[in-house]
Amino acid sequence: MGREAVAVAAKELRLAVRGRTGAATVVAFAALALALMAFAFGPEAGRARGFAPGALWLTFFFAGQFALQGTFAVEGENAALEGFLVSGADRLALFVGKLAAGGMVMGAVEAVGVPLYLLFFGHLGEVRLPLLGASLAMGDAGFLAAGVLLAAVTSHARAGEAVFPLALFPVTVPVLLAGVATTRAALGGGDGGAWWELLAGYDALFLALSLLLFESALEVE
Amino acid sequence: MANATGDAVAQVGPAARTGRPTGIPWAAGLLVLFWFGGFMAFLDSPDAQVLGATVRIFYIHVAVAWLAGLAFLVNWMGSILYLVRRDLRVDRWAAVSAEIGEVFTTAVLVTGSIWARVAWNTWWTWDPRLTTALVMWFLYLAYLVLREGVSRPESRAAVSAVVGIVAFVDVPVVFLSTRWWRSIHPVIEQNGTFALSPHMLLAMFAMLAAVTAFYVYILRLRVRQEAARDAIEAMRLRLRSRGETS
Repeated sequence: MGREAVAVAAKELRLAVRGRTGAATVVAFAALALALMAFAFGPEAGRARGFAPGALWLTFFFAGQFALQGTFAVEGENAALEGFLVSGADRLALFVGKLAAGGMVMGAVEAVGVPLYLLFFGHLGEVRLPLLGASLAMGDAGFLAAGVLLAAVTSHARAGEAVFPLALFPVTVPVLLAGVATTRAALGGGDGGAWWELLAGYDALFLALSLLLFESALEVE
Repeated sequence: MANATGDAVAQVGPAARTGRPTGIPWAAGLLVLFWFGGFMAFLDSPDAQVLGATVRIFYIHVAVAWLAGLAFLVNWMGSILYLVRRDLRVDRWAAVSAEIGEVFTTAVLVTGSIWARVAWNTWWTWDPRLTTALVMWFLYLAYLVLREGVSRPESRAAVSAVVGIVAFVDVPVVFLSTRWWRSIHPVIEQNGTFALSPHMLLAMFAMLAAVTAFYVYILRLRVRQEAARDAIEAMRLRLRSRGETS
């Protein structure tokens, strides 16, 4: 399973680098979204600071949805998924590989997004990088665990790209709430308190659920 | 042709022939239950100390909330059972139950909002109970929309089972939200005892019994309807294939 998952992740990353809607497009989309949020909230950075972590997390949510929504449509082309299923490879490798690759794409989005956010929203206080890293990484883990499963599930539907966000965002509401609260803590607003536990609990629950249910989500036509 | 019709009717049961799916006894029973529940809730039970007569919306609000939870519980059990047994009839029960649950969640949100205007002086507030209930409404909306989009029955059943299991994670959270977090939403049951007078308690349970019976009735009716729809679809396919061969 380990080698197969690495192979899937490598394939996903090659697609992310070379594909039409690859990582570069997702990063550009995130930068644009952040700029739009800054325009929408107006130039008064001081007023925006209270809810600015919300703008950051909304950007990552939409970028994440954008990154995930094509991930199983690609498998449908040229019967790639059928090929994978009959290859005898562990089916969970597909989940783990896509999860790992998704984490790297989100990491790239955040590596660009966070500095842009600090620039656009004029953050002047201290930035506790380890805490910020933990908040983003834990948020991504839960978001992607639920997201990869739901992307697989909705890829069977007509207009699946419309159904996917409809299913993804309600499921990941706890990530949004806890992500915003812990990121605010990392940017100098309190300690985050029980939100860290909620985030960890969500990650554990959805990793377990997704591993359990992923094979059922692969039902092919 | 006669054969095909006979097969389909055999699948649906005698109800398809008579056109009376569950009959007079159900209607009479429901009438009695709702009459009794309504009498207890609107005439027999006392006004509340602070909220006055507006407290009576409580009996409807709690009853529909209970039903939404029950309906989603049935959906969750059906979803798990489908993945274990791969029986499309189980999927039918689960789907219909989610549909009913979504309708009743809408009723919970509407009655709650009306009551909140009276009790809290606002139509909506981001209280944990309200927030988690709204998320529940969105989750099962996605479940129902997803079902519409998948045409192969086995695929539809499997993917909706996955979403049904994931969506149910929120249901106990809705129930426990008033205990876990600081909430302005009242908690009427604590450690098995209720913060209600005996008459109010009786009215509440009468309404719970009435809506539960209504749920069982409507669930069976809709399952039968869906079975008939599937039978007709199968018949149509058979006729079409016969037309192509002759």
